[in-house]
Amino acid sequence: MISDHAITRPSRLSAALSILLAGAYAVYIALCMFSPHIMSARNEAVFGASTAIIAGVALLTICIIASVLYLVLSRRNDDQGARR
Amino acid sequence: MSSTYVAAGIFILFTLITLGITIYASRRGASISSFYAAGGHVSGVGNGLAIAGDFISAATFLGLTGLTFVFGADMLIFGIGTTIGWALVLFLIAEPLRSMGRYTFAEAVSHRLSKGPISIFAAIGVLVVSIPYLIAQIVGSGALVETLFGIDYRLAVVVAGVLLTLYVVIGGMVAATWIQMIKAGLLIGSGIFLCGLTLGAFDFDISRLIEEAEAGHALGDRLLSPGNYFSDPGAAFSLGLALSLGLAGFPHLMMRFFTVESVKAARLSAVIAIGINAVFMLIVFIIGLGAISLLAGSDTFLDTDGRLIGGPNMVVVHLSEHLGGAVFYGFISAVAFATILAVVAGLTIAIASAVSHDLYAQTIRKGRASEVEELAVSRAAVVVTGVVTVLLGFLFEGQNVAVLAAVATSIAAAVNFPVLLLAIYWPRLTTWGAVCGGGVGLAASVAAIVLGPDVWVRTLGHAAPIFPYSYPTLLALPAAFAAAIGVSLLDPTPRGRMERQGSTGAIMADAGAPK
Repeated sequence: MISDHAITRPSRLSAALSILLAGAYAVYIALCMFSPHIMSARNEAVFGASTAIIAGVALLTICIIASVLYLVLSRRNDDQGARR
Repeated sequence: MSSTYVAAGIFILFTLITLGITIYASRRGASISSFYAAGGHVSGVGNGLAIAGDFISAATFLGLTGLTFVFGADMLIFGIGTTIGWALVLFLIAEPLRSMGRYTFAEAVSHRLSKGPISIFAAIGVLVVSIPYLIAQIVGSGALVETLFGIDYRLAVVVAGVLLTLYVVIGGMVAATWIQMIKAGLLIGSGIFLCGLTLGAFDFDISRLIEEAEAGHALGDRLLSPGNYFSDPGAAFSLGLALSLGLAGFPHLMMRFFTVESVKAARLSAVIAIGINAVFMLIVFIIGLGAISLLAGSDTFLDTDGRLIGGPNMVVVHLSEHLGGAVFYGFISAVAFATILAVVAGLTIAIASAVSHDLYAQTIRKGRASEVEELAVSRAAVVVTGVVTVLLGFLFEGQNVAVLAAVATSIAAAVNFPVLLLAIYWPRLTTWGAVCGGGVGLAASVAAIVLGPDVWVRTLGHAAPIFPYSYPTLLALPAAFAAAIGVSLLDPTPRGRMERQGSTGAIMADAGAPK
């Protein structure tokens, strides 16, 4: 019934990336809710968009970069494991 | 050419192609593995597309564009939440899930626990998450088709019910996968094209798009500021939790990781889903902002009070007609309906597999059911699901689809996610801990939704809600974790002690991810 090998633990990389992204999202919501004046500020250098939009687009981009980074590093780890 | 004829033509073409694929899929062999998991032969790229097709519903395409049109920058909280949700699935769930289960969500959760109680709990979890989501999709499809094609709501619901039953009964997961991939391609292609047309209307000058959106909106320069949709931080955090963690609790999405051959392919498919989701959210945001000034002052799309005809959810449809003419309008209409069919096909397989594999084969027949017998029960479950879906579509006609979707997302985040995460990573989880955690999450979610503003005030007519937020995750998720951990640590049964001790001494095995 009990298969010990079923229990896993997140790798340092996956744990770190999870905390980073979840934390960044929580900070984003907190800034939107508690510091709307910061998030409403306009940035003429970036199409006149508000900080809320720029930070939101940045977070989406970071998400993509982090996931691709994870994919690449995981594949490298798989290859090293296979060689060993 | 009438846009209705174009839409009908494209929809009929889509239906014929997908039915052809379904028949082709049925000839490739009818095994349990093929029916539940497409034989595990879907490529990483194909599965990534199918995940996007399974996840990005009409609510995303139509609803979030409408939200941007009305409330502006707050839409990003939705878009970022789901994208981060997929990233968390990639980092924490996809690989172990692929390693721990073959066909269903329950197999992964019950990997080292008692199969009987966990199978029953997990099947109930699948049903309580999937059925409200299924109702939301079918009610939305009926209303959409009634508006777009001018045919009766009930006829539209019956057409959707018959098609989904045919797809899944004949083709199983192989057919559902192809339908989801085609739908994802159509949706992304049409989204990019409409976004290009929108930007083109402003000479690809984003600054001008933003200025004209503010000038044409009642909120003025507050349009790009946060706080127009969310007035309370608790509501925003509760929704954020539901969006980012609820994805991992949707069995029809997690089942897709069983359709690939390896954990490498599972990772690749999650990365592709993240990329598509992120890009699609940006497209939706640009379309919503652009529509503000492009549709403002139009007699064709606004009523005499200046409100959008058909409500904010029709922004995409109206904008496609405005910028692309009758042909593009018809194309977008057909894609919107195809979108719903693809999501509903995935949900139907999740429900059928919970009934036939978890409840019938594993619990009632205790693993002794033959493959032929289990497959017959699966197909019967699909037919029953199709009939029940149509009847529920009739029953819930005119109901608030957003409330139903909120119920499903919140329950997924509070019932399935905590149990799945603890089953993967916490060696002391016991069978009773898992069952009690999920049960408390379900009870807390339902209670908070009933006592919240959507049901307590808007449906039952009370003056003020007892629970202040529409999304109960802020309450239900911690309650589920606390119950699962508390009951596991205090579980006095011999089985509980054995599960704790057996697991405590376990060799902690990595999921194969890098350190």
